[in-house]
Amino acid sequence: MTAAPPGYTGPVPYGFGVVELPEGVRVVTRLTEPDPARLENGQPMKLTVVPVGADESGSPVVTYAFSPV
Amino acid sequence: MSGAHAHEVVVGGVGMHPFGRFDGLTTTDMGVAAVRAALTDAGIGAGAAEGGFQAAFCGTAYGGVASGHKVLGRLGMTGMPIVDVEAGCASGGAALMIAAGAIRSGQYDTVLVFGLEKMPRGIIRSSFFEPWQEAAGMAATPAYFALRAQRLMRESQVTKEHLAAVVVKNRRHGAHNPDAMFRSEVDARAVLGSRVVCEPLHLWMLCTPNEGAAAVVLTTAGQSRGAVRLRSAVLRSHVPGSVLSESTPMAGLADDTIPSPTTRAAVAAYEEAGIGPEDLDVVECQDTDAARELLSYEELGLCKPGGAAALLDEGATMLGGRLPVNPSGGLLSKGEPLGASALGQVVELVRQLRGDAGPRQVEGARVAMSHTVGRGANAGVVVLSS
Repeated sequence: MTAAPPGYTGPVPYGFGVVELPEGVRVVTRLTEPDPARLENGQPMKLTVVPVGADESGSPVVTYAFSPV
Repeated sequence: MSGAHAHEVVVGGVGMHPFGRFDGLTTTDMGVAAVRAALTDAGIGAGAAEGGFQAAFCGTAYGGVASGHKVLGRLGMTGMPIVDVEAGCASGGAALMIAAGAIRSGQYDTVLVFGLEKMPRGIIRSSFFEPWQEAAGMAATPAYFALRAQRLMRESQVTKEHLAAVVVKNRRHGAHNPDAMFRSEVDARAVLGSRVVCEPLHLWMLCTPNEGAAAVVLTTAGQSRGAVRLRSAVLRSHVPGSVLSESTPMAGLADDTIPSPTTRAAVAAYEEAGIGPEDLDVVECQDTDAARELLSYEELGLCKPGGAAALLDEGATMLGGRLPVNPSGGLLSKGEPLGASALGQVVELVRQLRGDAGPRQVEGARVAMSHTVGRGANAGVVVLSS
């Protein structure tokens, strides 16, 4: 995603995709890799946490993401 | 709703305010223009009030409180039930479904249906998303479109060039539509040269949220002989589980067999109308992004699964082809005012079926389908015939 969507103040571009868990659940998630050319369908991924800016008091805000193993 | 229809529903009149950007006009101004045009087309004079139509349904997502009342209040035509209907991109389709059902059941003889909108600029901000989703960058509507586009490209012959070709086709059609926002043709090179919003979608492959209004008068066949018939007006939501459904879930099941809201609505609409895809002469479908149009070819049954690229390649869906899709120029040319977009499609198809579409006329069009799908999920499919 190359443009900041509404309400988002974190870095761009950022990765966005679907990760399939072994239990048969698919999760819509940010990806740490923003370049789709460097991602491959079916590649192993692991859960991580990424910073997406700060709240009104200046405290960092983080969210879940997946990164290539 | 299949089976005997006690009252056949026909389109008594249609009207539109062009789609675009109109800084000097309010949403109500545009709604008044569209409603006035539709009532005039239907032969319903000022002051007719409840004698002219007995209920009004107004589709809008961003209009706010009592949008329908504000329009009809300006016209001095109130007293009947006036109900705003919100179903995202399918708001107008939902309003049409309710109105058609009421006429069929004998509750009303004539119902006014209209839709209006004045969208914020840029990527759509929607109360659908929670604050945490916005903060996390998950309210990224084009990214969900892009994921569906990537899946389509992986599972079929669709390439980025096909996505560009959809834009070229629709913008070529739209050049002939005075109600469209963009009335210039573009070539594939320029489309692929516009910046990438979310791979594989470039900026020009995405429709522009904008402003506009459209209105349709539905009535019983006896009141308006020879008019365009409303054969079905169906709305469906998603069934749970599909991760890339327009319901925009954060998770789903590893199951590719869950039918899409569009497929479910289309199946029901064909059944209700008693026709199949082979009977269609012209289609207006949801081209929120270029891939969405190709997905609709499959989900509406215009081609077999995986056949969208071939249908586009053979020129079938261009004006002059065997099944023109989006002769109005689609949302890629018109832009998308959510509450008005579904009814804008119906206005276009009524003009096509009346033979009034001028340079973008589909010759001999007798059976037509419109389709909208969006957040909720809501999918609306309408079948009309001359």
